[in-house]
Amino acid sequence: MNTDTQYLHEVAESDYEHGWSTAIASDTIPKGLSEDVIRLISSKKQDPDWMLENRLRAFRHWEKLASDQDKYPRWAHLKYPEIDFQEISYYSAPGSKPRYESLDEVDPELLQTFEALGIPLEEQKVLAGVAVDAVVDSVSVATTFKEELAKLGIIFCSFTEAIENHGDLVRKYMGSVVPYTDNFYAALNAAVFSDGSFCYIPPGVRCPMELSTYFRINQAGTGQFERTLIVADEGSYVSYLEGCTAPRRDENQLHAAVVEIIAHKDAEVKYSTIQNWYPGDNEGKGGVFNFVTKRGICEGSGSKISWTQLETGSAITWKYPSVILKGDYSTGEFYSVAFTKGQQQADTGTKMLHLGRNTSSTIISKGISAGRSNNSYRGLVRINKGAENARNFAQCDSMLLGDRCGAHTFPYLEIHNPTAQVEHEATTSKVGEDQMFYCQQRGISEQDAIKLLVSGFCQEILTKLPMEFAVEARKLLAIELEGSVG
Amino acid sequence: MPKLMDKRAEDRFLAAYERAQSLNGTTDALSDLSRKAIDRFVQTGFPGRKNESWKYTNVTPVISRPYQVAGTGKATAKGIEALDAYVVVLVNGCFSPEQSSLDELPLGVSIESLSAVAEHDIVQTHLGSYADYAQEPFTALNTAFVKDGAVVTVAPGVTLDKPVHIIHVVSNDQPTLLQPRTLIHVADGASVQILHSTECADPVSLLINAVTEIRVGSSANVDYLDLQVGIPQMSRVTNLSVYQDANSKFHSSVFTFGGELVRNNLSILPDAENCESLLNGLFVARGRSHVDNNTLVDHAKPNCFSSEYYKGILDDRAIGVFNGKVLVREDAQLTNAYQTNRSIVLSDTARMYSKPALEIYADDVKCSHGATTGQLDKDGLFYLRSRGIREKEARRLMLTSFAGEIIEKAPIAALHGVLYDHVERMLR
Repeated sequence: MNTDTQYLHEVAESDYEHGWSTAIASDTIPKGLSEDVIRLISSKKQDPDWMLENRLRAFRHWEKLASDQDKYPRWAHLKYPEIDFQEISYYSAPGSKPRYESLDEVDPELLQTFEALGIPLEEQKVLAGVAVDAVVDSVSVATTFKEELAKLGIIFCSFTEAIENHGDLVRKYMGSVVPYTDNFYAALNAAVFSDGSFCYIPPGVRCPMELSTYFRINQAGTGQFERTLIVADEGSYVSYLEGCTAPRRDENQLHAAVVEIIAHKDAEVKYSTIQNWYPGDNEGKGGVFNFVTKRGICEGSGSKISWTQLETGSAITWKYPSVILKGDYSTGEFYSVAFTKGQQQADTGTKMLHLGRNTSSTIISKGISAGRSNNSYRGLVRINKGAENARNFAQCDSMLLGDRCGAHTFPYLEIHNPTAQVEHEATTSKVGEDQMFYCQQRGISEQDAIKLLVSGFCQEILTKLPMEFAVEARKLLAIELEGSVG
Repeated sequence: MPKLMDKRAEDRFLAAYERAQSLNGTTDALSDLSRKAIDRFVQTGFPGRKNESWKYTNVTPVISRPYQVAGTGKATAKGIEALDAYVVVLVNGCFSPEQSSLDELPLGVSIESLSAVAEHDIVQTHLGSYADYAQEPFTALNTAFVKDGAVVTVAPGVTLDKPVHIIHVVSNDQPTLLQPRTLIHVADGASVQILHSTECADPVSLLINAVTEIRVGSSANVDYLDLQVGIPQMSRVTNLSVYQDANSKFHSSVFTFGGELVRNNLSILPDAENCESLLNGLFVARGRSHVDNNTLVDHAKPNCFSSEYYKGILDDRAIGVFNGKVLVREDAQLTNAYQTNRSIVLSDTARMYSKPALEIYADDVKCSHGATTGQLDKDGLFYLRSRGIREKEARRLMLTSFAGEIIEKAPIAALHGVLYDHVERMLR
């Protein structure tokens, strides 16, 4: 048992593998947030008037929330110092050039950054058939496969381009799922967001490749506020990948993204995330504060939205990918693995809001805590009055690797219709001693046995990830567990 | 201006407190505690919806009424015929020796009026030390108004042959606030069964704010039943706080049949090793009834076991809430804790909110919880109907057996029939 503890101790204290920053010239505006800053960001982004108005409306709402102590969301099971929103710079663009035409123009050092993360753009382009819209800090620097997608009528571009070229679509859908009044961080994002990704799949089109964006936070003291908007028109299908790593920094970096998904009749959207931002050191110093609002709406009948996530990074995670099941016969899914160690704190889960008839949702959440971390699942299942024959199944399992960490489960079940079938199950336990013993007596080392058991614990979720991602996810989880550089 | 409204409600209670103080005062021995509690109450005020544990229950309409603090009254307790028990009767919160059967009590067991024994060590040491008035505003309110109540003490090693039945009778002709207080001290190795019930003859608006504290000594065994039969005019907040010493067993069963607004706070602190805590509950609500069960099992020490099972049936416009929390503290290794909540919703307008939470800080534990909400099983109904049972009867049968699972767990077997009768009456 002693070596076991020691090993887990090492795991819990292992360093962040991707901790370095790229020295690229960047265009950063001074710290602080005011109406002038919003106008400055807007002018830098060359926003149309309606967008500036949107930003200002959101900013005024946010100011109202920020001025009242009671309006700040404090219900999560998280402890962190007050965030000084005037101490953050709200815009940073790498390089002096605002945009690139092709990969050749991209800063070579930046390409190396991707290379070091194990995501060579070219290689992926050729081997995996993945179109990558890379977001370093806040401006999209490279978009690949665009032409191939364009042939099918698929629009996949940065948010800035979308505002420029597809203003009507952006205007129609932006804020329709996550309005700026939704919560504190959604308001902040709507006011200051600098870029993000936009994706539109036309009716009946099945997107032939996985769309992906790599987010990196690169500039010290720069919050990243991006927005993703995915619209899947009637009968279309798209699988979208989002993966993140960030270099090590001592200041807490604030990240407040908004993701909106709209699925029309019979459309299906699969959204997968790997989040591996800097979690801070073992004393809990530094690390990314991650406050994300992700929500999709199953607008039409027979539509489906599925969230899959692997959360291993960030000092603070506050994230509840949700689905509004508005269309009849629509489906929502949430599959999650959250791993916390050191002083990390995660409060994550989902919301399934059943409005339409015969809607169904599935929630499977696996939480693993080590070190002195706290890992909470918080999920809401709400069956509205008109949601006849709604069906929900939720399973939340937690595993504890150490006696100083916490695993918590806070489900909320709100049932307003008698025809609903809602089930929730949760278990909390440690790595089974008999399972460990079995592995070890078969000659498997203690470390490998723990890896094996944790990987088995998460198997159900990892298989839901797209193939390329599943490989990366497994690797990441193993590295996280191992602690040393893999 | 909801804030102003709340303020008024609290001020009214404060004024009532001051009036009661100047009229007859609390018993001297309790005045210090009472003063601290009212100060705390004024500080916190009534819980609002922003308070996480009151998220689904709004007390504003209930506390906004002009209540009279229950004074002396005359009423006769009916009791439960089927049950052979030591009966203790309190009328409007005051001990009624003539209606109680205290002479028969065996040696080592005493049931006394709180006002009579307020100065005794047991009351001075234990009253107010388990029910935390600092945390719970309703407990603070009860503690502030504490005057009389029942004190049950069981000496070491004594096993009672019959249950103790504490009956609160309310006699009121105008809206009344009744705040019963009970202290149960069960010494090491003793064993006792206690049943709490309320009888209310007149259908006049009534708010009951009860606090019961139970100390379970080491290796002691306590079964506690709370039978709450409500009328639509009656609201109640019940705070049951239990402290368990090593190797003890505590088993609670809370039965709620209607009432305007019912909130049951149950908190159990197994504060030593090898404790066993069982929490069972059943509520049947219809009309505009709102029933909220809020439980906390605070595992502070290792090697303890807890199991919680709550069931609810909701019809008409009733609202059910289950808010259960299992807390396993850092050093409480080898804890086994289970929690289940099942509810059946029968009408389009009834609602159920279930929030079973686990908060765990120790790794070598086995904890699980489950919650289901749905309607009656269609296959089951079909089976019964295919056997020639009419739909109405089939539904009644299925609901009764659903409730029966909790009823059968109730430790006082003589009560099962009574409980079934209540369920059938509610489902009629």
